[in-house]
Amino acid sequence: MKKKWIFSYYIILVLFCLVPTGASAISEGQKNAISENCLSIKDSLRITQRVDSRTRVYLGGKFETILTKFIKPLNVKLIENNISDLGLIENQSSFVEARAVFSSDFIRYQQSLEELIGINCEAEPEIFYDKLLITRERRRLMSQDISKIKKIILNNVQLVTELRSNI
Amino acid sequence: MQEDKPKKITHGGRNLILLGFFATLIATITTGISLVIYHNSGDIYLDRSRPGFLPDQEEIEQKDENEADEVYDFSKVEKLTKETLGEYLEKLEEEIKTVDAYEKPFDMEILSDEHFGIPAE
Repeated sequence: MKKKWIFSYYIILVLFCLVPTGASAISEGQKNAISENCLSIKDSLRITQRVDSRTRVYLGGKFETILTKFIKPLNVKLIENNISDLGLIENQSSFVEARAVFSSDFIRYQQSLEELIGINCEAEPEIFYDKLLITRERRRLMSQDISKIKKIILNNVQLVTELRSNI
Repeated sequence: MQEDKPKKITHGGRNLILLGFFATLIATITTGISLVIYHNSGDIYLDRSRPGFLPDQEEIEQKDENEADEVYDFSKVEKLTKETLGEYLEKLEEEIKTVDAYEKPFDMEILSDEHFGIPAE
């Protein structure tokens, strides 16, 4: 019986050793590549940071224009004319919400990117790679946010087309 | 004969140093707080006046061209008719085109292993 318990403990211990800890397990080849290309990787990340800042300002401006010059004034005009269109009001709420998510996700993404650039990838390739995975995930969210906003705008076009045919 | 009153000793020099010290301390603290707010609010990431983030010449010219164009505003429309909604849709389609013209925003390839020369496991 005692032997059985010892064997079980041994199995559990081995399993614990196999479970990956905080740092992701990357191969020696990958570690070496990160360390060797550290400078060029960082240069590339800095360029990405600048390009993303430009993208955020450009798209943020466009979304702001669509909200303040199109969606909002149309809903105000509908209320003034006593026309009730719940679809368009919901559309405006969705747009405002999606835009707020887009802005907050961008801050989280940029913070992650900034931390990534700050890591010494030559000496700490594993930590760098872990952060890279997190940053990638946050970048993916940015892409999703933009797709969502575009869908809401297209939905607005559809709703206004229907409204136009009913006037 | 009047007795000379003892002169009041003032510490002008010391007070001036204290004033300078506290003024510098307050300025440092308030500037620090401002920078923390500037960073944590995310405004830093939208600030394109930072060194290295300044817009290039091509971007400035494009911006000037866009500003020169008359900006459509639905709130200026007085009556809600088929025509005004038609114009709304037409102008909105133009805006959508400018959004779509920005190719692959936040493209995933730029952070891929291949892009950084990291081999597959």
